[in-house]
Amino acid sequence: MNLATALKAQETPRIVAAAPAGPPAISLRGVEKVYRTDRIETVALQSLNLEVGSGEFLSIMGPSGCGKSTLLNVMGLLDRPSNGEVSLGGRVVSSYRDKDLAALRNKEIGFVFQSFHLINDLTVVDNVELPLLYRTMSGRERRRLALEALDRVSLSSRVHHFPTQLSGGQQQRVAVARAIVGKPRLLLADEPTGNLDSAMGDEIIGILTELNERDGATVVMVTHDERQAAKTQRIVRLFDGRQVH
Amino acid sequence: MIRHLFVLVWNRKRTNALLAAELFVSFLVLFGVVTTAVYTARKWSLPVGVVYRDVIDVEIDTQGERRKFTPADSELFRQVAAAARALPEVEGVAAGNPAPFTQSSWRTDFRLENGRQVRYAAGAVTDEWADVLSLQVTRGRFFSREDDAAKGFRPMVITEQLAHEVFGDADPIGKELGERAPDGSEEEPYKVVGVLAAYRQNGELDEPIGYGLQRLRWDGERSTDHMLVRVRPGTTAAFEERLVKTLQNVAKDWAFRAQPLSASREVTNRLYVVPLILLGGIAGFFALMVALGLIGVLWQNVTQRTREIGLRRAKGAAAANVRRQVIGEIAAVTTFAVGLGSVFALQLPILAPFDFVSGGTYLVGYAISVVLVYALAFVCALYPAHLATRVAPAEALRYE
Ligand SMILES: Nc1ncnc2c1ncn2[C@@H]1O[C@H](COP(=O)(O)OP(=O)(O)O)[C@@H](O)[C@H]1O
Ligand SMILES: [Mg+2]
Repeated sequence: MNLATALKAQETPRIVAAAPAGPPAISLRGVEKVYRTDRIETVALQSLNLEVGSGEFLSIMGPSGCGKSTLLNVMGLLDRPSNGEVSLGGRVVSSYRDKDLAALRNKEIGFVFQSFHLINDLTVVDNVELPLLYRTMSGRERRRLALEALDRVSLSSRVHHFPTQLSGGQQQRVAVARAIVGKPRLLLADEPTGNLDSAMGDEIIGILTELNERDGATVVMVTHDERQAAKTQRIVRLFDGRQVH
Repeated sequence: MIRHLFVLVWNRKRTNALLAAELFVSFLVLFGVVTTAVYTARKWSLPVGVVYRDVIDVEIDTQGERRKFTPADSELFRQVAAAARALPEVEGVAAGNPAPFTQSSWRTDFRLENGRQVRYAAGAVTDEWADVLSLQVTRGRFFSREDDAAKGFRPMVITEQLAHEVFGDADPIGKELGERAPDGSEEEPYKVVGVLAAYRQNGELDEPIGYGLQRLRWDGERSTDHMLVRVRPGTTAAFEERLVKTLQNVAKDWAFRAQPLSASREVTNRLYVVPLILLGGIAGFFALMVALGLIGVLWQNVTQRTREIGLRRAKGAAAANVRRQVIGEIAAVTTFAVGLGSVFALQLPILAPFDFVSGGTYLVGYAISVVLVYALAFVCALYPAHLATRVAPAEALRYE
């Protein structure tokens, strides 16, 4: 399945010009992020305006330290910008309370990280269930959705393994399953293939592409890999906290 | 969520074992201390049956043979009592052993026909004992002159508690108490002539054990070394000295020591209470140490788990969820500790190693200790849980 979709992804046209109807999945207006430590002030993002259309697959590229992770964290409501406005699906969320942001992250956003961030003391299926713990649903329903998500990443045979018993690629697939278990509309992946060899990396990109094409998920991915970025619909390049084109 | 907590705590056995051990020991210590406290409170709330106010205990050293009076000693003893009675402040005089609040006790065991062992405390007192101590007779009567004519038995007055233990709901009056000597009878059996509402020799903190009083005769050869003197209300402490002088004049070779029962009561109660206070203090200190230890370990846990906490936040946990996670985990660990502790603690009501502590006392002590150990864990988790809510997810998840 993964190989097939990966091949298919390569065939799809790279650029989708027209913005889809309805509000954009994410919209950033005049976003700035400044980190202040004791003496140093780091400007991680400055005057950033960006719209990600609903159903778009976008890559963010740029040299290390240019603010890619910061941008993704702001988009994913993990971090508040120092200035500017963040909208998600048309709602301005900049002023939301912590509790409401948490609920949005839970229902509408799925994160994938470079270093997987699995909980090593929990089995694969328990890891995947994690986001659902913050929703009201029965344990049985949670389990059902987790197994379904694991099936999507072809890990049905590893549900009761512990993360340390899996390869890096398998671990990242678990992380993807965890990101999609709650059926979010937006997937944010911060260098998801950064710790993987290229074959495993392609597998992950294939899954993300499939989620984008088949399920209509909006995907924003940070990558260093031009080859992978080329498979996505649009590339945003950052340099020193600014968008370069 | 509860399953998640238990799975996580179980899978992190190694980290949590120390915490569980600490909570397990705390639980057992709490159980011991709380059960002692419950037992003490129960004792305190039971009726004593003795009115100690305005009664002076006179301890007499007859310098003679213990246990037996010679006819001359007996005569002198009656003269001493008469001298006391003649004082205007005195309302009544009785003699007996052991006197209230003297900490000395005399225990007797015997086996009922159904094989059950009954244990009770006993004393030997004169007919006036009931009036001097304002004892309340609920059934039958207290000792009196009519017992002088008793033939073939020895009269006894017992407490309702002992009556219940031995005779159940049946009327105890006229019944024999104790075992008959198997070889016939060399000694006359005891027969119940009256029942007292209560009689707890050493007061509120005395073991709630059944009591049986035997009759002491002023003209008998059985000796005693205590005399109780009831005085008019409002009699001052100076009277004690006068009383001793008066008695001393009657029996020049004997030694007398007078002390109000209220004073003996204070001394006795202190003897019961001081170990309890020490025990409570040690337990409190122990709980404080455990609490500091718990806070430290939980704090360290939180700092070691910032990534996991950040991840939970990223996946939709609000600050309140993170707080609940930390508190929930320690609650789960506590549940393991209490579960293991219960196996030990609940042996006590079954084995009943102390016959005077009832099963109900253990259960109440158990319930309170369970609540306390959870409360301890909860309070100790509050600050670490608060720290956990302060973890900034973006920072915690940064790729190094
Ligand atoms: N929590 C932080 N405190 C201080 N500086 C930070 C923090 N997070 C990121 N930075 C700085 O902000 C800049 C952008 O970081 P980041 O977004 O992680 O870059 P990238 O992901 O593109 O490598 C860097 O200079 C980094 O050192
Ligand atoms: Mg980065």
